[in-house]
Amino acid sequence: MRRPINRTFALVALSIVAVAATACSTSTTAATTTSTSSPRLSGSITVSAASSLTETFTTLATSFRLLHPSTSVTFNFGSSGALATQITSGAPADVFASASPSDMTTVQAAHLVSGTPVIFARNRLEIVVKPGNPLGIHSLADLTKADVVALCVSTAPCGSTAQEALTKAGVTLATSKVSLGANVDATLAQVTTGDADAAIVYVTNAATVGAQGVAVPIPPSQNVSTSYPIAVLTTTSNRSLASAWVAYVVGPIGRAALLRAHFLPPG
Amino acid sequence: MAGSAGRRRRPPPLLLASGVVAVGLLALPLVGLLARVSWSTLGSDLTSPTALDALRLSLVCSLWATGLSLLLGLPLAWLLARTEFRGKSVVRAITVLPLVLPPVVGGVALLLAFGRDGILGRPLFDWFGIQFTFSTAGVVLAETFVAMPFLIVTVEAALQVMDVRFEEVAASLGAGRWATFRLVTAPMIRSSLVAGAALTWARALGEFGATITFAGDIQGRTQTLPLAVYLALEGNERVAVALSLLLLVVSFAVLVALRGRWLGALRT
Repeated sequence: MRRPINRTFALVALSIVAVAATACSTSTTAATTTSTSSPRLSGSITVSAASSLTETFTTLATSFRLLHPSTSVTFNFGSSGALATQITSGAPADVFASASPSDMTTVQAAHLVSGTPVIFARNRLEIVVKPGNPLGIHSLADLTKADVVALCVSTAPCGSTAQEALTKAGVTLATSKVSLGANVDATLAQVTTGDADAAIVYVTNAATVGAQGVAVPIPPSQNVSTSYPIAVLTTTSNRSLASAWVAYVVGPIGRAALLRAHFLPPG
Repeated sequence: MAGSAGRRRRPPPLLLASGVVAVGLLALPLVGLLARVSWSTLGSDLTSPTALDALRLSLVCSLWATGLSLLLGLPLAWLLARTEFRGKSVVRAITVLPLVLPPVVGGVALLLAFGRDGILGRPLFDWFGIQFTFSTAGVVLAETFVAMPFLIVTVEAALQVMDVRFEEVAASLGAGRWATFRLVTAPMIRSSLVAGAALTWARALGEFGATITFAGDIQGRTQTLPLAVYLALEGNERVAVALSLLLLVVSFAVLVALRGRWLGALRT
């Protein structure tokens, strides 16, 4: 791999390559530049990431910054469904990390994904109830005892997987008892700071509630897991930094941070 | 400027230009919304169960909030305008605060006061089983909190401007306090009263931040139109746009009605 002598040269070289590539109209998208040799990275990128990644990614960004001091990684956290809509309607983003393959597919269908998305983690569901579990909720079926159950909106992966798990368990919750959250954080907050009796969220979110709630596991037979794909977007203005961030998340440091946050390893 | 009273002056170009920019800034988003409306599916988008539930709930809650604001805000406006008491400036500041407070902060504050763990909410729940959070009553409470200041401020201002001598004459002719208010004060501040109530209603109808924070988002129970718009935007933009259009039309109708019918007399 050739090492650029300095930034200006690299930029000039890149733009020449870009112009040449466009001129020849040959698709030479350099998706293979995710090498582990560390070129001097600089500039900034925006990472659109699922809400459930908020803490892990924020932590990872801090250590990434130590490795590459002249870079900055900013985040746009939200439900994967909303993020996919934002990206396909032209929101500036360099990397997309989704909580479900289907939202990544939406972005791929719009020809905005560069290369192939990589699955970097998996997550499962868990019930969170009020401290002390006053209603004695020990399973999905017990959720019918609750007056208000917080679920993610069905367009968010946490909502569709929760619905799948409820179906698996043969549980139907009345619409009048379900309070919808726009993303997994908003859903969990309805139990931890609000007055909802229970919420179905990811294991990784349930692990963060501390004294504000109790996590009730869902047995594997009823549980649904979701995969997290990550990809560089074609609209990126800083491909090298975007690829480096993806490599960092997929790599050993990212893996360790994800496992520490109770994510499951991919596949 | 002096000397130009009789002649209509051409506006300075710079002012004209920035005025045009200001109008564009305010009008463009509305144009954008209208351009995105899917007219062929508008009917079905607006009559889905979710949309109808949200519409019904929005109307019921905003009317309740307006009624409560009249019931509680009118006396307070009168007290602020007509009487002197210790701490009046503090009371006035408290009444106006929700106007400038971010609604979501209002929602958190309501949660800490009226939630099941709140200072008033806990005894209410423990002793009487009354719960505001995740209830339609909670939506009304949140909307009243955010919207009532509009009524108080409008009516108080009208009372301040009104000539007190009319009331004094009525009293000297033997009219009691209630008769004076009903026969003299109320008719004289009528247009402000209506304008205040309409503003209060419009604000209540559009309430989002305090409602979603305090009352959650339950279809048919707490999911008002703005909340439905927000959730629809997560994945069903067409419905979100349709519901937004509905809110836009209602807001516009309020303005037109206010200018045409009730505020006509105020126009010069």
